[in-house]
Amino acid sequence: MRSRAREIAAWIVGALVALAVLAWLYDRAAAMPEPLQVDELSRVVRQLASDAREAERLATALTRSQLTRNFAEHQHRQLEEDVSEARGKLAAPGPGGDEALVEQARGLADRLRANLAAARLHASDHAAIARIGAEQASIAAALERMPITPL
Amino acid sequence: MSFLDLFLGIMSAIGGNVDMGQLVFTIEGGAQFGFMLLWVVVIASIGIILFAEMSGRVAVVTKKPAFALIRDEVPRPLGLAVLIASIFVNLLTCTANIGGAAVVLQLLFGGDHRLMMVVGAALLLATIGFLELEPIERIFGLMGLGLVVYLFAAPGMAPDWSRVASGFVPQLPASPDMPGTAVYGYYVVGLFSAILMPYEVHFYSSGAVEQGWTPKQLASNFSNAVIGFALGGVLTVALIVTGAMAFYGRGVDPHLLGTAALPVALALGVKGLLFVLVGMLFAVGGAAAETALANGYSVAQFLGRTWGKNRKPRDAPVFHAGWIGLIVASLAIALTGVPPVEVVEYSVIFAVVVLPFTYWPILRVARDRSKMGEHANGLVVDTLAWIFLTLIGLAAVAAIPLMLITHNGQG
Repeated sequence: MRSRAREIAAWIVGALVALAVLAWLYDRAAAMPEPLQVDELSRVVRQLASDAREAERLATALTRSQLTRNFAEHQHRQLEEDVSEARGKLAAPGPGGDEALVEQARGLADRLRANLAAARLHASDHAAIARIGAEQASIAAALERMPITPL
Repeated sequence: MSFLDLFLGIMSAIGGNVDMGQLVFTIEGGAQFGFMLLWVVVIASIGIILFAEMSGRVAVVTKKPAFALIRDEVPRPLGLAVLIASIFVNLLTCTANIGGAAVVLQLLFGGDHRLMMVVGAALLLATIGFLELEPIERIFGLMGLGLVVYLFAAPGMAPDWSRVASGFVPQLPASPDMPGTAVYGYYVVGLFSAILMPYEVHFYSSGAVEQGWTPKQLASNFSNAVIGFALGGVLTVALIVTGAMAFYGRGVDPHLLGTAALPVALALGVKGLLFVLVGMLFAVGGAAAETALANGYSVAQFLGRTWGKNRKPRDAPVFHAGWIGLIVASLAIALTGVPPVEVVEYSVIFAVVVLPFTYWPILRVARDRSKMGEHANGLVVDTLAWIFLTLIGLAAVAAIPLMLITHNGQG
């Protein structure tokens, strides 16, 4: 009987812990936007550069007819979503004195996203894809050159 | 047991060896640290061989699978905490694998992401519901062998083999191209855990009891564990080499599942791509099936209820509710749109914390001559198992702090 009571108590404690975790997660999710910290900006820019480099490689594979239509379509769409999420983070005010840097990152993210959408539409046009690939490479290089204090 | 059965068992073990967690941590790890994580694969593969063989041997001799041991060998409140934590990890793992299967279905056939999740979960429910245990293992394991295409893609990228060989020696990152030691530690722990995921021994030991293995089949248990997991380790090495050759030093952080298939497409073209995507689909689908069944086994065994995949739902209601409930709950979470790759990272890291409590009761019984008789651990196995349990304990302590410090390995 006592072990049954102990078991019920353990279930209740487990449920309370789960509720506390959910409340904490809700609090985090509902928090108001704060200015970007330098390390967060650095992470976002690295992610964007990575997406641009991957887009460049997708373009290479497309021009060599190494991808299926569904793969190219879906992978570009996923990268677009990724860039949109990163762009959302860049909507927050920049860290002190670095507003120009954030503005530059926003511009590059917008170009990257537009190119990804264009690549989806012109996946079978090798000349267009080669042009888009070259532009993605230049966007990646610009993002990699951004003078953000390393972590 | 015929040679064909043995061969199929080993092939299934190889194909069923890789899941979302391994795909993510190997390709990302290779991209971040080149070949420097290869030594972790060797150590973790020895660990999973040791503990899978031990759990199978204990199950055969005592007729007790892993969670029945936790119930009997661990104090009840701690056992209950392990059960709750295991259900939580199973939920995350199954969610990630259902989400991953939906991504692969989209990469293959297009279509809406949520629709593909529902299709994937429905196929999973039907496969587990209508087939017996052995065909389930065979289908997912053998079709998952599509991933062996990485064994051809990796050498095709012409790696410097002397640098590959140096990756088998433990070392700390020194190159300025690499993230710091904390991120390296995160990947070491993540890869170690991804190879030693607890659901694998729950599933393996329960399967041994359910399929009625006898002490005569201990040799098959040994060969399945050693050859299957060792060859699975070779496949994992190929994944890291592929990730390193395709992405290391090239500025790509492969955080999408499709990105893991891109190097194969670049090396082998469309046929290679389709091959690897089918392999991925069955590998992650198989992991979802194993996690779901492991959940049913864990709950029913801990509560002392009747269990068994080959029993009818009215004869084993808790077991069947356990696996069906997990798939339905995982689908519900996946439908919220959480990225499967992020979820799998959490599942792998949280799994490390549960690992010592899963493996300790197995070791305790496996070395007990009063329970195991002549099949108890010998000195070498026992010593190795203690060393691994210590490593697992260290990984369990370090896992969550490393996850928080490194922002899930992002630095």
